[in-house]
Amino acid sequence: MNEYLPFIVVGLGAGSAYAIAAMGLVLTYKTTGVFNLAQGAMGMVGAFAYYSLHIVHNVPTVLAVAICLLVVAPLQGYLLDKLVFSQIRHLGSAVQIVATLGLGTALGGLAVLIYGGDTIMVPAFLPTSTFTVAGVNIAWFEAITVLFAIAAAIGLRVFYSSTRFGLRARALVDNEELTRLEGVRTARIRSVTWMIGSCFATSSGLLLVPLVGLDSTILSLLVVQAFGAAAVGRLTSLPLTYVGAIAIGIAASITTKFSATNPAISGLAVSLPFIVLFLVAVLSPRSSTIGSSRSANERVNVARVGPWTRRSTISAVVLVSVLVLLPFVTSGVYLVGASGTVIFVLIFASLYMLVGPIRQVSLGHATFVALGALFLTQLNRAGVPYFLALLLAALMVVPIAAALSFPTVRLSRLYLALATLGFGLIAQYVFYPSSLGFGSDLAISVPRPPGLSGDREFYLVAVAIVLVMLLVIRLIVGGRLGRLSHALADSDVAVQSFGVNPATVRSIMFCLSAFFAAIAGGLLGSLYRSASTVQFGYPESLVLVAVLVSAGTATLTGSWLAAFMFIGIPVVFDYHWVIAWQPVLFGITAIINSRDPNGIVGMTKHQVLWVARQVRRLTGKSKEPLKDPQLEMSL
Amino acid sequence: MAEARRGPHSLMVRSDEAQGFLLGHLDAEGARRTQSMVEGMLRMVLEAIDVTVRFGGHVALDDASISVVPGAIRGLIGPNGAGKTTLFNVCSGFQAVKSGKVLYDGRDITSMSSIKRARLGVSRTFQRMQLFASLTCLDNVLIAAETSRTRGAGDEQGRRVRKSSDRERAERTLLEVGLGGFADKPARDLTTGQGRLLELARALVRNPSYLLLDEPSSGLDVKETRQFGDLLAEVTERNGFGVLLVEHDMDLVLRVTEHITVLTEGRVLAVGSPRDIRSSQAVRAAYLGDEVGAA
Repeated sequence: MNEYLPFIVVGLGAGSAYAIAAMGLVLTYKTTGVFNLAQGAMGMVGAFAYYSLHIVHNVPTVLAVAICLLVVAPLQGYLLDKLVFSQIRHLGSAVQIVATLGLGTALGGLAVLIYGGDTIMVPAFLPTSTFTVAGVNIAWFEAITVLFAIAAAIGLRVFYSSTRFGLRARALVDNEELTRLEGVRTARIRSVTWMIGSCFATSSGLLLVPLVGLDSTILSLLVVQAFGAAAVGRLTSLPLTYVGAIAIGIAASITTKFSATNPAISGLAVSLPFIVLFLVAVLSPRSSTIGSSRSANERVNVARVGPWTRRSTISAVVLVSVLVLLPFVTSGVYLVGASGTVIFVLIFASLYMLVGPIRQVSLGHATFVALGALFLTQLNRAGVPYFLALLLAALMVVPIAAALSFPTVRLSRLYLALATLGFGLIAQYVFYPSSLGFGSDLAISVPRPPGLSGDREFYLVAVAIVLVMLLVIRLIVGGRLGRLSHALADSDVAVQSFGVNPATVRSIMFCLSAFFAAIAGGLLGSLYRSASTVQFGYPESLVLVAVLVSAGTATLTGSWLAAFMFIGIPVVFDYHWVIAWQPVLFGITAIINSRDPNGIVGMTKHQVLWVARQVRRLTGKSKEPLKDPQLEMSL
Repeated sequence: MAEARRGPHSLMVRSDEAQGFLLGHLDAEGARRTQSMVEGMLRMVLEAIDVTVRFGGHVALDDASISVVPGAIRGLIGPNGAGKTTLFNVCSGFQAVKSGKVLYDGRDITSMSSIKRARLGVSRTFQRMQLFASLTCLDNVLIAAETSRTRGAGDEQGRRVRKSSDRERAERTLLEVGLGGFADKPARDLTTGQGRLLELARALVRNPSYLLLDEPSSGLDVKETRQFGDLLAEVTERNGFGVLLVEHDMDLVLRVTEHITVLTEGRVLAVGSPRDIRSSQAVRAAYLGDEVGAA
């Protein structure tokens, strides 16, 4: 037992830091109904503020910490509530995920712009000297962290159970309408809650910075550690969240003891929150839900496939002609860029199938893309012909997607979204480095189809496959499954009364989406002749969602625009600042467009219609207002 | 299957005769048990038998029973808090029971989920309307048609025929309930009355064996309620399914149902024809008061 004690002590310290972040997350979710994926990024802002104050401007430690906790953090919470959270609290889990994700992406991108992308080591501000208890060395900063977390948990409990504010906040959680009728200013309660939540995020960030360094990505992922803990508390119970965080911290620390001798489980520690999250899902009773009470139905307009019109035919013919002619007018890096763009259209379209019709956000989509490339290579090496291998690789992804979605989506869409993020992380840290995955090189070389391996030939192959797949996606979204998905956005219970399980519909769409992502993954790997874990890490998944929502999720046109913005623009405008500002812009547009299903595409359509209306009015051709045509899809 | 269960109309007549005979010659409890037995033998009944449901310390249903036979409308009435909605939910599978059982044509479905019951042939509507507001009326009905257990006539002739048949069935059902002109209108533009009709159309197109209606007249005016009642009687007669009608509107219940179950405080107070219920002193005292006396 004694040999485990040092690991338990370390785990207690880290677990306490996670507990602080997790309690902030649960507190704000419970009170405001917004699950904040940017909780980690908010902690990161606090940590960078501390770095600027203390390291760059030599403000004394205590003062710097005080400014961060008492000025920067509450201010951040207040501003973000007014600018983002209060705008999205009634808009369902998909909008919230996208908006808070966009916020996280934007804050992370800004941090990279200002401080650079490298990890900055920050000296500890708590004493690192140790004392010994029962033969175990305990660092003071660990002991202080543990005590701070306990104090925070008790303080929160006392504050919410014995103050007037606490009583009003609890009333708000129960029934906002009634609380407001009693004359309580509910907006102020939410603002204060966000300020407290921000303080918790910042505390957690400050406590972890000396351990992990100042790195926007790592700190943004702080929230990830909090997910598992929050899941133990079923996203609502603060005491259980605290217990969950401590348990995960200790378990993660103990697994590091074994991973030293067994490299196969080296990624287990970081995956633990999601193993917990997944276990909670699997072990939950059949009829239970987690975290969907506030947003059972998405009242936002969802994707709609209109009838195939003459305009659709014309757009399709023009598009296909341009795509087929392109390789005869361009070559080299531009042709590869064009191939990449076309393949990314399929990746975005596979994501569109989820975000558009069923308002389900997948935060691990890049993983399915990676698995497509990986399985294609492995099958092809085993002697399966290229095109058959591509199809089989995509089919192999389907059971994985099913295993991920079936247990989790019945709890709530938010829960599946969190599970997909966890899936991406586990894939990256546990599966990719294994011999079954990308191996120790973290990269594999991917074949192109024999006889069609020239850039031009492969471009045409990719275009043909992508177009066929897009047609299939259009048929699915416009068909029975799409109609059912659309109906689900209005009423789960009515669909149930037809003998259809809503979770099954969502899972089927999720599996189909994974299938198309894997096809695209195989093609993408073949295009670059290689696939590496860097290309398909979990941050890519998050960026994919942000980009698609910016472009528009109501029609397939959004997927074309998204692919162009994501791949085309950096190829065409190869400037450093374009690439550096991309995440920030995607993040901000994702926040702005999260409530509008058709993003930039929709905005453009409105502008075009407005101009057309003005022109008609000026030329006196018509006094009739030009009608906004039904959202229709063009290939 | 659907044809087979609907075909022998004579069986239903026999069932009704048997009920009348038995109800006339036995005491209430004996009549109910014998009636269950006869209907069980005939195997065409949706029934909840001696169901008890508790919410914490509160007994919502106490040994309550109800049966719905094909081709007839069963009314379920009672004062507020009597347990009507709970019993309705027990039948539709949205409420688990503490004791008692639910039978579907003799098959025990007590522990079957609402989704599976729906697949079996139980359609329901909702007191608080559950329309697909952003879809057109036709799409609302089409989704129900596409998910129904019995498909259109084109089944064996391939998918294309079947698909058009789903659409045709949906269009026909919309016409049947009088919403033919609203096919392409979004459901959110409908009035409450039209919404109720659309919900009915969605339930009808699924070709159910049993149709459970949860206060379909709430939100309707007198004229709309009367029209709804006429339509309900007509489609029940034509399609031969059994209907369970939970209703507050006494006029509607007394006018369209053949049998009525009266609940009070979770127990069955009386079972009988509208005439019996109208003249029952116990019911009058417990619930109807002067309302019926005036009628």
